[in-house]
Amino acid sequence: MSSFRITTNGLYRNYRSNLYKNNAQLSDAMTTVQTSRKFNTYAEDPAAASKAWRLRRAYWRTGDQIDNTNYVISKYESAYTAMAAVVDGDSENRGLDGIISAVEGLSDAAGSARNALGKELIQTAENVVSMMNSKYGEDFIFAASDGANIPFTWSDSGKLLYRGIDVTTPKTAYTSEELGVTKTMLAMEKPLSQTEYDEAHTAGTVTEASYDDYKAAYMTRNKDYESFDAATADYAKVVKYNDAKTSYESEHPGWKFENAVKLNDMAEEITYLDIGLGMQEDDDGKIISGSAFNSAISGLKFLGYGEDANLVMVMKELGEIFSRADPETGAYESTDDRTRASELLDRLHDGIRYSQGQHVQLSADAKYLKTNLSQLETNKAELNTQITETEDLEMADAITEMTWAQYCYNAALRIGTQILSQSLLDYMS
Amino acid sequence: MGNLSTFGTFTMARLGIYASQYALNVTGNNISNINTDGYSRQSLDQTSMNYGAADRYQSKYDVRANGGVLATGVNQLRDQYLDIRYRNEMTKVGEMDAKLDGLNQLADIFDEVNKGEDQAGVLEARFNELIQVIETQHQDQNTNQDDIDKIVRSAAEALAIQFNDYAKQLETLTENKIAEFRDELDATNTILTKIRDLNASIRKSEVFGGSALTQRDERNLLIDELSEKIGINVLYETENLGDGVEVEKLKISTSGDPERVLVDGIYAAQLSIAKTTKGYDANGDEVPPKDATVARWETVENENFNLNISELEDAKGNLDPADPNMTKQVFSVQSLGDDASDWDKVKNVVKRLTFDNSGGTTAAQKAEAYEKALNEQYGFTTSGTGGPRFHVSDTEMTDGEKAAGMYVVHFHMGPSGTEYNFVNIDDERVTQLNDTELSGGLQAMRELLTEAGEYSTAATLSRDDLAYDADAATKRGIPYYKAALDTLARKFAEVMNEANTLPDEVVYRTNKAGKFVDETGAVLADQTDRSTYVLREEYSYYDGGALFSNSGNTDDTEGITAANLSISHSWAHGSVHVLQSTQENATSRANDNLAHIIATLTKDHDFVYGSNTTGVTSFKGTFQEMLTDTIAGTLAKDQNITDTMRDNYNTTADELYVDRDAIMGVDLNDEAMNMMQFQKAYSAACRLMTTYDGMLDKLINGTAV
Repeated sequence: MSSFRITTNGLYRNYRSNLYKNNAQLSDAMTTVQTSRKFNTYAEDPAAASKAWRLRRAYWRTGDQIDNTNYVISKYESAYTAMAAVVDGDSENRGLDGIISAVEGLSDAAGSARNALGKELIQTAENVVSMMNSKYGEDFIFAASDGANIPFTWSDSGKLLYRGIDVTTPKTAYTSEELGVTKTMLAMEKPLSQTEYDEAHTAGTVTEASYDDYKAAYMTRNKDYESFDAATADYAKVVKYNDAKTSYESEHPGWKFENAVKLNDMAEEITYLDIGLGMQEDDDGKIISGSAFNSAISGLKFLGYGEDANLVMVMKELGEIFSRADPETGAYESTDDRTRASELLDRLHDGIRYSQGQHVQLSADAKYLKTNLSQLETNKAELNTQITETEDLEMADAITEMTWAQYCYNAALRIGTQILSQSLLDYMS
Repeated sequence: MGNLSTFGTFTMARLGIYASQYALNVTGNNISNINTDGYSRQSLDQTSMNYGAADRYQSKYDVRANGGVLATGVNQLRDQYLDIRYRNEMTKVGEMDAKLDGLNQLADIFDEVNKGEDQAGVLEARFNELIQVIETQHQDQNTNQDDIDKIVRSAAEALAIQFNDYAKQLETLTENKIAEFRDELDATNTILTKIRDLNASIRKSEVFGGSALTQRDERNLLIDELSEKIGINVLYETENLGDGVEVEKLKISTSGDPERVLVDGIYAAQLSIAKTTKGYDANGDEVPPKDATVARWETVENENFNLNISELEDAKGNLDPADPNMTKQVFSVQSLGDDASDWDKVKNVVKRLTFDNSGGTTAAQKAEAYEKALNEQYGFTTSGTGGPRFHVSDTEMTDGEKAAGMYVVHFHMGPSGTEYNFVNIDDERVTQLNDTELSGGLQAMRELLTEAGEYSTAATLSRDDLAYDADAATKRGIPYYKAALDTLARKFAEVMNEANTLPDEVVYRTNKAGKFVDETGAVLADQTDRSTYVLREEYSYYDGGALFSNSGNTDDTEGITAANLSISHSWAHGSVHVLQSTQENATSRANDNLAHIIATLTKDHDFVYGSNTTGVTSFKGTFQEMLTDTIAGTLAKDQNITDTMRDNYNTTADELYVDRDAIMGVDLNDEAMNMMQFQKAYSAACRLMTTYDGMLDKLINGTAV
């Protein structure tokens, strides 16, 4: 205040203005203490508030991810326990480990235990299927992404089916995605060029009198296509598909190419779960595989599929061969049985080792998930600390500030009562 | 030695007594008015009385004493420079006060800090809850479709309702602010009227030699008050009444560029919200005002809340003959015929003009030059008489008006020669204030109601702001926050709907040419009737579709805003479900689409200014970041800055008030000193009288005869 003449009202206004400020500061300090927060509105500290929202969001998401991880850990533990009963066996069953030992014990010349082992193999095969059909909650654990439906069933002829498809269907290298054909495309008949038509017409395989008649008839047969010319566009894919199919079916008579492709598809099914790996999509809107956890457990993959590649079917067939062996001598019923048994024994070894490997993998996955859980819990605690540091105040500081504000306010009041009432008039006689 | 009258000294003593008594009166008046709002300290003007007469033969050694003291008047102590500074500062205080008040009310809606359960916010928490329920459903053990829908829908509905509530609160805030703006406008008009009346009263007083100090104080107080509402310039001019009589004339103008006169002595203008003409056809539907189908016009308030200044009028309604605003008057055109080729071009024109004979050109020549310039400005022909064009003429003027150089602008419609006068809608001549011509509280309120900041469109900016206010694109009022909230709601709905919908040509049977076909492959007769579409076998499970719409009664996704965001009718009634998977032949627990929705809800999106997808990206981030960073965060920063600025202006205004009060304010110590001083002067004058009486007594009675 630089004025030469400070008037009574000027002094009052000044005083009043300062008193308001003191009062406002005291009120703010009291609110701060009462709410235990560093800021009570966004505007008080925009940077801290913005940070607090980010932290709180991360905290919330981490909670969701912990929940997801807990779920998937339980699922994996259930899967592991179910598999342990089969792999390690129990009081009534030898388990796969026991089977391996027993089978290795068959190397003696007599093979007298072959017959009994055959029955045990059949029993174990059935146990494995039961295990693979076990549930966690309402869902089948080993059904990959089709948990609502039972994964394995036996056909009337004793074949193991996975969602209705024989697991011994010989393998193909193709998946649906690779082939990229739709049903509509497959329904398309290859349109002939003029030259091809001429040849076919001469050979009598095409009966239409002219190429135009052929084209019209073609369009009638292929209703999904509006024009003859356009019909050729995707034909390359269809050709590739048909070639693969023909080749497969001639190589594996009696087997359907579609089923082999479907088995590949089913073995690779994925159900992604957000467990805090930064779940993110690529530009095509597909989840980036490393950013989420694939929680689908495929029984098909565990047991293997394809010709002589499914553990259950190998055990079952071997069991049947052993069962046919002479109960006394253990001699094979036929030479074919001997040859087949020898092949199957190798497969059995491979299959059991593979399943044991899968079992161990489950354990490793569960362990990974537990580590992840622990990490998430640490993150959550850390986020909570950060939120507290950002939002919550140090009470001692806040109370000190409030006390100081109170002190200033009291001083201002005192000034008001002591100084402002005096003027020269009070001293005039 | 000059003449020395016997009783002259008595007169001198008497004048001293009078002067002291007057001075004490003034002191008493000052003390009495110490708490009168706006009172300016008064002081007595005193002058030493000088005899004018001289002796015929005056000696150069003559000694003259003056004749005592004369009280010549009472004046006010006031520093007009400090008045200006104080009022300028109060304009800023008023502006910041109004702005902060508006921002605080917006923060009541959008600031979610320390709100909600566990201080988790409100809309922010609804987003978190939605993500959480989808995360839970995403675990592949769950559940049947109905349960998923029920749980997700419930969270989504809570989110939509919160959006609706925020939009509703914004609407209420807008309504309240408009009402407040009108009230402020009324209050401003009342002040202008009062100042005008006080000017008249002061003028009358001055004509008769009075000083009208009380009225001046009252007027100053009103000017102070006015300065909080509008930035003003105050000018004291002199008005010559003839016969050597001059009185003061107060002129108050807006402080913008160009200045607009609000008060011109005994004339004052009134402010009103500018009007816009809308045209309606016979069915009551709005059509362009120039459209041939217009059946009626309706005048509504300008949505940009521009202000008009009326003509300057005195208390009796007489117009100011020298109205300085008149040359800038703006009129709306109503009576143009159907064939006005470009209504927009001519809707704002000057109606009445005054030219004079000066600078070597006559009024008529100036009118002609003006006509030419006007036609060029609006792109009309400037030669001949054919075609639509402006015509400046004085034919309708009275002789007196013609003599004063007044002209009227006509619009010549075409070869037929029909001429139309420009008639503004309410038959009231007004001057429209552009965006930068206003400052202070009113402008802050107007900006709160109109500024869309970064959401301003080229149309709104060219219509109003940007031409005048380069900052218009960054000023944020309620429309900005409404647009940002709508953008968020729209983007959210758009993304969720897209995530839950597969293209028709993917899920429904089509032929190679992309035509929808039935089960037999036959092309459907009506390609747009979705109810006849047939699902492909591999998508037989498909029941996706829009989850959000613009009304709970429809699935219409057009024009979704925060106010109308709703759960779509089909989702609410179970004919659309949350798609768990979008794969062909999806298995029972395939959850790829739930993962996609979660990823979508938590990934960055481009939020675009305006309602289309081609505008400039305003913000790239998640939905929640848009809410807390762009909406609440921007608001918080604006609040923070405004609060700081207001505090600064307030402090300066306080200092200026005290400085100003140092000149004009009554101080009790000062007045007590004056009391003592004038009392002593009074006593001394009395003593002088007694002394001289004693002297004369000696002379008259004590001198021996």
